[in-house]
Amino acid sequence: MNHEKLMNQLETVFRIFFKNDSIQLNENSTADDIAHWDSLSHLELIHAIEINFQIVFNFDEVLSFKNVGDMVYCISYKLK
Amino acid sequence: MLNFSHSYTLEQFSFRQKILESLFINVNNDALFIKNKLYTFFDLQIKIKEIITVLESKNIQNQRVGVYCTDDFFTYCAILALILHGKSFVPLNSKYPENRLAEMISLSGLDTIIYNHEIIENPFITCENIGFSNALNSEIKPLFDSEKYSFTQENREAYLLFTSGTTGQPKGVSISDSNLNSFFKYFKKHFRFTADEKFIQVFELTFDVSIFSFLMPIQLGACCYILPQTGIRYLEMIKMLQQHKITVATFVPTVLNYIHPYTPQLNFPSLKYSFFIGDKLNVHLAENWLKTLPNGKIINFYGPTEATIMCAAYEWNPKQTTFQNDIVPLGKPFDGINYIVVDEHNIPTDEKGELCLNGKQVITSYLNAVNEDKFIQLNNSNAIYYKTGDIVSIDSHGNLLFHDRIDNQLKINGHRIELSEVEYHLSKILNHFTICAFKNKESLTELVLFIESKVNIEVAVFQERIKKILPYYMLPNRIIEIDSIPLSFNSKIDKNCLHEIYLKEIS
Repeated sequence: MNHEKLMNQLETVFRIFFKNDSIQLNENSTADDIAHWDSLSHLELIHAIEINFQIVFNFDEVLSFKNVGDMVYCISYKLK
Repeated sequence: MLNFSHSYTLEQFSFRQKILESLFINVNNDALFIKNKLYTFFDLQIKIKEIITVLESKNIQNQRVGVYCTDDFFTYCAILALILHGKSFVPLNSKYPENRLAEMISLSGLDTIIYNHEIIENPFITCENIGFSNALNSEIKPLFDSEKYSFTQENREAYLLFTSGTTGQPKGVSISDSNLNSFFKYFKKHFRFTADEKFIQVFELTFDVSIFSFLMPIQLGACCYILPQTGIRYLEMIKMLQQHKITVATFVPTVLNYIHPYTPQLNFPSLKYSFFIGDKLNVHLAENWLKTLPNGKIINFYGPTEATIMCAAYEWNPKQTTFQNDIVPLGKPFDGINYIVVDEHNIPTDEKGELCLNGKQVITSYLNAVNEDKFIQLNNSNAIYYKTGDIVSIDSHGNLLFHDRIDNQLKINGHRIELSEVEYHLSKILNHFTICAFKNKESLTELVLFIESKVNIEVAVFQERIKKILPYYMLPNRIIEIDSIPLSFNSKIDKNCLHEIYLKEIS
């Protein structure tokens, strides 16, 4: 999956998860930029991403996510 | 030069004196790790001296001084400076709405606020604003004049905090030196902390447990690692525990709910003490967490703000523990804490009932004497007991067991929230709504706002408006539009029906 396609698919996961069609992701997006992306929703979001991409993150990977770019890098690595 | 060669008994212990001594004795030790920068006790001395010098020049008569908390080096030094200047500090959370801060300032009679002028300029027009920066001024000499510092007065106020109030107005809790000294004496007597400890401070400074997490290591000459107040905080906390080899961590049990699925992958060989406070600790979560601590202990603390941070403790031992409802016991009260369990008529009972507290750490009224019904005389004595609102029983070993809250009060991430206070504020801008607290799939409490669709609000605009009137931790986690608020036979809001709607929403 190329980078653009992966980013679009991830954006769709975010839009469905947060019930917000106006979400626009970029590599620098963080929890501070997206309404309701907080401690309460974070691990549920991770789980939704895992199901959508049919991958499993380990906790060290989850800890390493500083922004959406880190997520994309990790998903891309796992899909290879 | 100061001379700290004298010794004193536990009875004479003063947290102000202990902090002063520690600043000098441990001058080369690391003191604070904040925003990726490490500061020594010497650095602290310089900043504290700068702040005290300005405060002295202003000759402030008011015992209370507000600190506009921006969670930076300045903020922590400001609190220490006020402690050593003999003042009471009133932490003002920079994330709170302006109206709420103005209310706190008015209720506490503040006329002076100190703040970081690199973040904001003159935050409060009703007060004298004294600005400082994070920078260390190399021209300032760190030494204090020892004769100016005497900390024997125990009836002075140490700090003033505000908790959620049922009437929509926050309640002021004034903690004295005597209360706080008694609290720290417990740790001095029962724990063998050393200057080599590494504490983590994860709480906002308006939450009283932060006072323990921050002032305990300062008294020891140990380093305090401050968790940034941004990002997904429990994940940042796990990173800090691992990277900095933290030895003493205090957090709310909710953290374990979040990371529960990942605990088999975690291991913290450095962590000696995991302290929990602020909410009920579930047995299955404690058992899992203990597996990550090859050299650590779990201690479950209990304490309302009115009883000075913590006032009962229970060391978790899965082999010896008796418990019920999957909740770890609250344990035995600290030295100097008296308790009585009462029924609904305030009559002492041996059965399950409301916990009432009295003693060296417990206040006997709120600021401005509001909610006086929370303070009662029991056992035909003059002693005043604080009614905690917590339903407890006592097991055969004398441990307090938590059952439930008596009122509408909730704990979310350790923050005390009265649903009635949230409703009161929302009613100023909204009709045809109700607010509920429900557990999500991870057993975490969410505040759910139900709004009738006829209200016809634009959610984004509404969210911006409520951010201006409610502290962030009281904001609804979820907004659900419904045709009409369902009512039960006796015309009360049908919470069961709303719960079903909520469950459908999250499925």
